[in-house]
Amino acid sequence: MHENTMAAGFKTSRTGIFIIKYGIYFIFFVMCIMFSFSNKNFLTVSNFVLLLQQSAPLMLGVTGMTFVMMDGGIDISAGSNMYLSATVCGLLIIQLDAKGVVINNVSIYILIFLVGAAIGAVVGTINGLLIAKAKMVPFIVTLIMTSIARGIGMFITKADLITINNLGFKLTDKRFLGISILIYMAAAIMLVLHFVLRYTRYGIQLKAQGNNHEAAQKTGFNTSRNTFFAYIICGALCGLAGIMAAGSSGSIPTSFAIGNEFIIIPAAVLGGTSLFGGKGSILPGAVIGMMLVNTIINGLTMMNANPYIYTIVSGIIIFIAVMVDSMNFKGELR
Amino acid sequence: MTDSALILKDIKKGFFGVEVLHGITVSFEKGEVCGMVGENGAGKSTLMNVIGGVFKPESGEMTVDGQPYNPTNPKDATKARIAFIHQELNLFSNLSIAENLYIDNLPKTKFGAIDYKGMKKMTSEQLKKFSIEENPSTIVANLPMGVRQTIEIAKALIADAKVILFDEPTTSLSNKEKEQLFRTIGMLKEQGVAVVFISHIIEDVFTLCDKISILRDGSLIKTCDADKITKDELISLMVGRKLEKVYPTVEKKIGGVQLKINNLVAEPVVKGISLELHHGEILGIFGLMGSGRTEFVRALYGADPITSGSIELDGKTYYKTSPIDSINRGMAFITEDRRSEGLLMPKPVEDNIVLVNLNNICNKIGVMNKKLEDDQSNQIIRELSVKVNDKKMQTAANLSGGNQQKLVIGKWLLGSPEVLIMDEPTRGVDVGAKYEIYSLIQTLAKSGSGVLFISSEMEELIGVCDRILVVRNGVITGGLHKGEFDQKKIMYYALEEDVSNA
Repeated sequence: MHENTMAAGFKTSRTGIFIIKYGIYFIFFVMCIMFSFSNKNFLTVSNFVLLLQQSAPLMLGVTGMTFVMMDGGIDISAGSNMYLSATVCGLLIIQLDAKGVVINNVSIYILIFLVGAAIGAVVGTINGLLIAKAKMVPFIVTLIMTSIARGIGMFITKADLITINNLGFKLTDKRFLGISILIYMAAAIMLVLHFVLRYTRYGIQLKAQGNNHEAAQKTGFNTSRNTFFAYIICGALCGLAGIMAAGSSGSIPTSFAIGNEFIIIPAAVLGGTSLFGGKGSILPGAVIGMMLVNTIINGLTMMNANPYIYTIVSGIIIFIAVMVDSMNFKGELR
Repeated sequence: MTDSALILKDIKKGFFGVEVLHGITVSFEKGEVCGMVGENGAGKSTLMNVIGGVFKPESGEMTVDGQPYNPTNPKDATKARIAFIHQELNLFSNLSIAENLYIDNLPKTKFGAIDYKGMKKMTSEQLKKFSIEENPSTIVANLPMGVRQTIEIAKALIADAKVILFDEPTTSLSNKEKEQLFRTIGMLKEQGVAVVFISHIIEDVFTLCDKISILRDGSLIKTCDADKITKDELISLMVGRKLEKVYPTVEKKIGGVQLKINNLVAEPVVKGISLELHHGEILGIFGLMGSGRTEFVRALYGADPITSGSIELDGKTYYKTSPIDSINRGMAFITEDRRSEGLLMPKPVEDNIVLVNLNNICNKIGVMNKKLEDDQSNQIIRELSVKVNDKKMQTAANLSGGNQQKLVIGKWLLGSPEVLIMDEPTRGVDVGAKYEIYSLIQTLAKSGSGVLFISSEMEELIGVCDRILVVRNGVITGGLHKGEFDQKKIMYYALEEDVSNA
């Protein structure tokens, strides 16, 4: 009798675990079927490649966010960071063009990407200093940074729309073997950072301290340095994502990348990265998470859904993702 | 062979201007297990933290293998090959066994990446040494406590530790795991490691140690060979007075039924428990780990949901309960996990004491009466003789284990509870404080309150309770009245099924 009741309890909890773990994929699967019925272009290779291309910039954001979240932190300033770096790069492109420099050139492109990443890294450094050294709460620091970074961006552009594709900075038509360079860039960077997270001392220490900061300190890790670098990595990637996204859309309005942190963070969570720290991956986590989110947006677009539905749907996605994460967390021993 | 691995000379250390260690001189020899015993607050933890580089001593010197040793942080201790096995293990539960073992010194491939393959192979070899049959990639969160502890020991050995200090290592282990730990410590001894074993469980100290050092009030009272001292002598040295009795006796009257529990079920563990608790009665509940005793009282108090059954308190029947309801009905619950559930560790002592009783301290519109707060917390500190220097400044985390436990009990006593539920109230508490806690329970019972006393230490139940019920597998399997207490019988009730199965 003892054995039976135990088995029953075990089984129910197992089913629970199963639903928690795979429920989100089930919903995703159902939505995919729905989309492919309503639009026959949905389930095609070209749509998939387009989706990858559209996801590429934010995937880098998710990659950066994975580092921060691995440590148990969060970076709300991701979207504003993207905007700031895009505006700085946009102004740089305008200046270069005014001086008669031909923008449509590989070395200029690389320069612009580097500037974008550097601006993002600066924002990340400030976040990192305040969080790792001044021991301020990540949520508050990055929330404040959200308004500061966007404010600076609007200040330097006088809140004007900046158009860059007509000056020669246009990423959508840059292809290699028929595939957008955005995909190559994202893939290369994510591979490197996957390696950093999985196969270097830094990566393992970050994962370990995200689980138990106190023990990490006792073990002798430089925990604040590790945290600091996580925010720099996240900042730099968001900066790069900003200019990549601007290069694909062609222009930078003041609403550029607004609320993108609420795509990036849930995408990371959907990919298996925990808001509580110590758990997550870039490959495949960040890729799966971002693709899940973008597939749903893409599907809704193809269904000609009312645009106001998007925010509701993305809200529901965030809700489910965070709920699943919390439920998973409760079952875990720390 | 006497070859000192670690020598301390005249170590002094104080906090808030109060000296806690008054010149400790002691040496730990290679290949020897030295027991370190003392009441809570005797200075054991402080001493350990001095050795571990967490606190800097005010004076005195330490030598490791003849070399002067002046640690400024925990890393220095590791460098000097001194390792600690804490009660709360310092493993990363989200990492695999292999990653945990080698996190200080990750093996690299020639390309600079972490060599997972080599790490796993090395880990398998290590695990074999300790006869643990686990996959090196198993996540530590999925391992039982005993295995985790062994992994921490293995980690210390990989760092080539010459001195290993164990801080209360047996409290969270089952008997089987304890035996395994003792075998491992025996192995360490053979390898010439100096082992320091800090414990409240005197039996363990006697089983394991070659030498015993006794600390009291920050001074080293005596160090002697374990076979040259008796248990009674040891206890009286620890407390500084002769303990006539381990258990207090109080004349009291047992009244009518106060609390009646009818077939309480709390899934999945508690499968129907009925009992009656009388006014002034101390009712012991004995059960092995996982028997459902803790789950039962948690459900009774409302900390966990009740599936079915009812609670009858002073003639009123309840089918649902919550901690707030229970408190309002005059119940108090002393949790087994004082660190995370019993106290607000980073808050001052005073705040912790008045926490449950805020209603009585506030006026009608909820403003605190500071004077009353002060009086009440002073009263508890005095009555329970909590060792605290400044109740407004010192946090609960800064108190020793026994004093923390007194605080947990004290905050409930302030509301003079009708029913007191205590889950392992003497865990991690020294002999002297245990006696005081027993006395408190007795006094409370004498005043007419019913006490449910849960413990895994059979001896204390026999010493304190009027009646003992045994829980196994979520049901009550037996009950004994005072006078018919019998260790064998209790154990039989607690194990029956397992015995018949075996």
